[in-house]
Amino acid sequence: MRIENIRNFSIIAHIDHGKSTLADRLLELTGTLTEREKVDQFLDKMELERERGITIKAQTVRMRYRAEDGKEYTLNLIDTPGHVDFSYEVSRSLCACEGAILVVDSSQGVEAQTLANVYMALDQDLEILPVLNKIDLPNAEPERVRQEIEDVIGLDTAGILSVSAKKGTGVPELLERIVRQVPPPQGDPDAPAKALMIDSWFDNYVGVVVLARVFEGRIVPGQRIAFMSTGNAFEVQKVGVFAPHPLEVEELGTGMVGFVIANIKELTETKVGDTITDARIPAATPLPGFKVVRPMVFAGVYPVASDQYGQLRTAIEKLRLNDSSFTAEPENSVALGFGFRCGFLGLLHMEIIQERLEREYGVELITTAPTVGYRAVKKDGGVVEVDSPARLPEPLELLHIEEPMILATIHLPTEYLGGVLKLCEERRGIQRQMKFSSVNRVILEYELPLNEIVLDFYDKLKTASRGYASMDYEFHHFQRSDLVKLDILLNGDKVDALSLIVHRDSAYPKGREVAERLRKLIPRQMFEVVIQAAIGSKVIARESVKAIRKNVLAKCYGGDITRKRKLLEKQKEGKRRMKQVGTVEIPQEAFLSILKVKE
Amino acid sequence: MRGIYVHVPFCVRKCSYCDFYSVVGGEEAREEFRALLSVEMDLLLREFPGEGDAEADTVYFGGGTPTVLGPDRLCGLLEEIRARFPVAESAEVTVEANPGTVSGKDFACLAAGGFTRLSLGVQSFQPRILATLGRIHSAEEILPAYRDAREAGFASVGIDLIFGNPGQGEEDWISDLERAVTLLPDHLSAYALSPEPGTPIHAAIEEGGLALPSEDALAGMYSAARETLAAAGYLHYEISNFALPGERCRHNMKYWRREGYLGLGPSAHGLLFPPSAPLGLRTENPPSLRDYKAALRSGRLPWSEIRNRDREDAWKEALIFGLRTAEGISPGTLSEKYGPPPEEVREAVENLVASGALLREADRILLPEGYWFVSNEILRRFA
Ligand SMILES: Nc1nc2c(ncn2[C@@H]2O[C@H](COP(=O)(O)OP(=O)(O)OP(=O)(O)O)[C@@H](O)[C@H]2O)c(=O)[nH]1
Ligand code: SF4
Ligand SMILES: [Mg+2]
Repeated sequence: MRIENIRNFSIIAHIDHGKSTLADRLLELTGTLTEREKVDQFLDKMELERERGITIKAQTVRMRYRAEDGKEYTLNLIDTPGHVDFSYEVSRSLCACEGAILVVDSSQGVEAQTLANVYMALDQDLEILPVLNKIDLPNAEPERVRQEIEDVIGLDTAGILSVSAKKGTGVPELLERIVRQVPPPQGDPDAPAKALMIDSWFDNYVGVVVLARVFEGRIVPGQRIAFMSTGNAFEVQKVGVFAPHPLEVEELGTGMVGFVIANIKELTETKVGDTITDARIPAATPLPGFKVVRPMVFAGVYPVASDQYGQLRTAIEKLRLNDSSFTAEPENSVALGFGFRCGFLGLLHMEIIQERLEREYGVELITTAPTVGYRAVKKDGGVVEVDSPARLPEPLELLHIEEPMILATIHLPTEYLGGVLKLCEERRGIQRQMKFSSVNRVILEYELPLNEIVLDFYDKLKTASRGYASMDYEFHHFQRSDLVKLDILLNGDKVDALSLIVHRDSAYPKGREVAERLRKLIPRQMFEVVIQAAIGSKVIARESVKAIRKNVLAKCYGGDITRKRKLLEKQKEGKRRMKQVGTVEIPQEAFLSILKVKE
Repeated sequence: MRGIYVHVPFCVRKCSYCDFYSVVGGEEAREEFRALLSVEMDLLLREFPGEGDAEADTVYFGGGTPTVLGPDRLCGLLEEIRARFPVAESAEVTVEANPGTVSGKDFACLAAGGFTRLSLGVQSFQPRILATLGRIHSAEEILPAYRDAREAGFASVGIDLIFGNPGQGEEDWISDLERAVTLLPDHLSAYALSPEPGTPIHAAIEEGGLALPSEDALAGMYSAARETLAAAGYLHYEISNFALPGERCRHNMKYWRREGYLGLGPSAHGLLFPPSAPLGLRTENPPSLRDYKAALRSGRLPWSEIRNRDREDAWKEALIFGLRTAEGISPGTLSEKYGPPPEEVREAVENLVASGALLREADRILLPEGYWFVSNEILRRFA
């Protein structure tokens, strides 16, 4: 395939605006999918994606298309996720492309992630093709939304395409636009190979599989390739593309996106964003790679059964190949034993990682309450990154604590402005800007403590706006704040995995709430369980779980032995997901749900 | 020494809380049952000839309501057993009976026919509770039945009571206990009512028509039983069983000590130790006269389930059931019988001893009495 006939593009949009559905239509129109294979959101292959109806992982497909000009083109499509927690997937995908289709739901309009994703595409100098989607909906307002794209994003919308990804209307025209407007890749096919590793995963049979975009030269089986950051070299065994199923090809030429299998068995030898080159004739300089993303929330991840620690470690290494945006460092808790302190891009990300670890690798996990990353400034001038309440220096050494602030951009219809402003103020927000994007739409910019939004802000925002507000945010700066460590004691023993860092003003209500929540969660046991919330040595809340009084098999004779044993087995099974801390058994959910929002 | 259990699957009428296997049945069914039991014993002896050598020191007729068969049939059945299996001279031979199903003459026949022990299903002295439980007898029938039994000359007479009945308060229960104690039974069982799914009382509770006392109230009743009966000289020798010194039910002790017993009749379970299963073979007859009969008629033992126990099972069972009793278990003896405990079990015992949930006394391990009413919390660790 001549490089002039290759088109690489991502589909980007706010969550649910129809990216994956549009991808379905493109796959069908180009004959990439057979009639039999058609399912809605074909590219959302992961069980979790199908269950939740969202895209989590970006997916690449190679399509062949004969355009009106009579030429055949190779189209490499990357469907990306829309949720803010997965924006790293989008930014990586965009690095492999020359163009981006910006899908905007014409019944909704420009939303927070529409804008955030456009900015990322502009950063990469990509050609952006805006598309108005869902025009089949009776409440679609293509004209208003078109205007919004002009006004808010500043894109030229002359001749913008209106499509229905669901019905297929306008999609043939879109294919032609892609061919005409997305520039072909640049790059010297004869130069030493230079490819960007955009994704990877572990396959039990072939080891690490690398997804790469070739910028110069080519990658062929038999070639020795090297990863530029480590210098490690491997012999390429197979290269191929997804069409949409893995399809071996003879080479990955300049401009192509495809997979490389090179007998890589060590999990830690490859890193997404690295540059792949020819080991014998290496490229002079690596590609820029990816910006390092900074985790927003941290939580302890522990195996339920302590003998699964090794398994968890391998699972994390394997999963990190496929998602380098979460971090993991060994940590040790008195209550939970050996585990990892993991960093995530958000709560949804945390949930997904936990579920993937459990489902894909069969380890059962306990996750502790998420916390944001604080900075502790010590009296001796030292600064400690505090990604776990346990790492907070002793009060005597501590000068002050700083908390991360974010800059949030919130898009909403003006009628909900009052409620949303109130919510932001309650969460210690500072307004930076308020912009009316059209007569009835407004864009707010707020500086907010990350701590205040991580947990339930998004839900609250949705409630306050009947689902119409959308939000995007990025880290802004650290700010000194009056924070304290809230400890939880069970029968007098501090449970490290239950500690929290909270603002002093909310320490009392939080302490009471957590104690009460635990009282409801901890089942009655053989003795009374006293739950205390304390700041330092000062107890600020107390609850107790009364001792269990009856749990007995009253009648037990010869005929009952097997049945009674089964009954006990069932009780035992019920307790299996409990963690014994000192003498107290705590259900696993307790570690996470102490932070849940009040119902 | 081993025991022999015979399940008599007949009752006059079903009680509202009952989940034992029993049917009303007619005269014909009863007669047939008696014949079937002999077939079962013969088949057992044919397939496990060794069982004919082991001497039994306890025989227990339970049910159901065994006395529904009438004293002649019961005595006849006992004869049939003795004809096939050696039964010790001094054996404890128990029959369960419900007030209202037996006369003084019947009792005399039973005693003369070799029954040494009677277990009387009283359940409560209060008409209201008897009605809720759907018992066939009235409160007035209890005392005469008890007197008749005593006069018949059984060596041991026991009474069963149920507490934690819907609408029952602690005073009601204490009054039942006191009435029971004044009768001076040798043995007393006090069960917390546990409504099993499928029973009318369970349905009534689910639907909200009846309400069980609270957990705290039940615990209070249990303590009341312990105190009242201790004061009257009864030893609390198993979670739900009390006896005057020397009057423990030897047959039931076998279940908790994991000693062997034959289980005859529909729904009866057995524990055999044939050479092929030195750590125990648990057998289960189907809870259905029809299936029981069909199997026997086609020349098969009616076992619907057989489980060959391994070392782990043996240890777990020994702990789960042995710790129900005041005597507890002896790890040394169990090791001799079954081999060393599985690591998981040994560790669980050690941890529980360390935390005080189990007591080590000389060479025995016991569950402190204070934990008996929450014993599942401990015993489940061995499940
Ligand atoms: N009526 C109508 N519904 C559409 C159209 N396109 C997508 N949808 C629906 O919108 C919902 C979201 O579609 P997806 O394709 O999963 O959206 P997405 O942008 O891939 O979502 P994320 O990947 O989670 O960000 C689904 O219920 C689709 O059926 C359209 O053109 N018309
Ligand atoms: S008498 Fe006993 S076996 Fe018969 S129905 Fe009542 S509780 Fe059940
Ligand atoms: Mg999608």
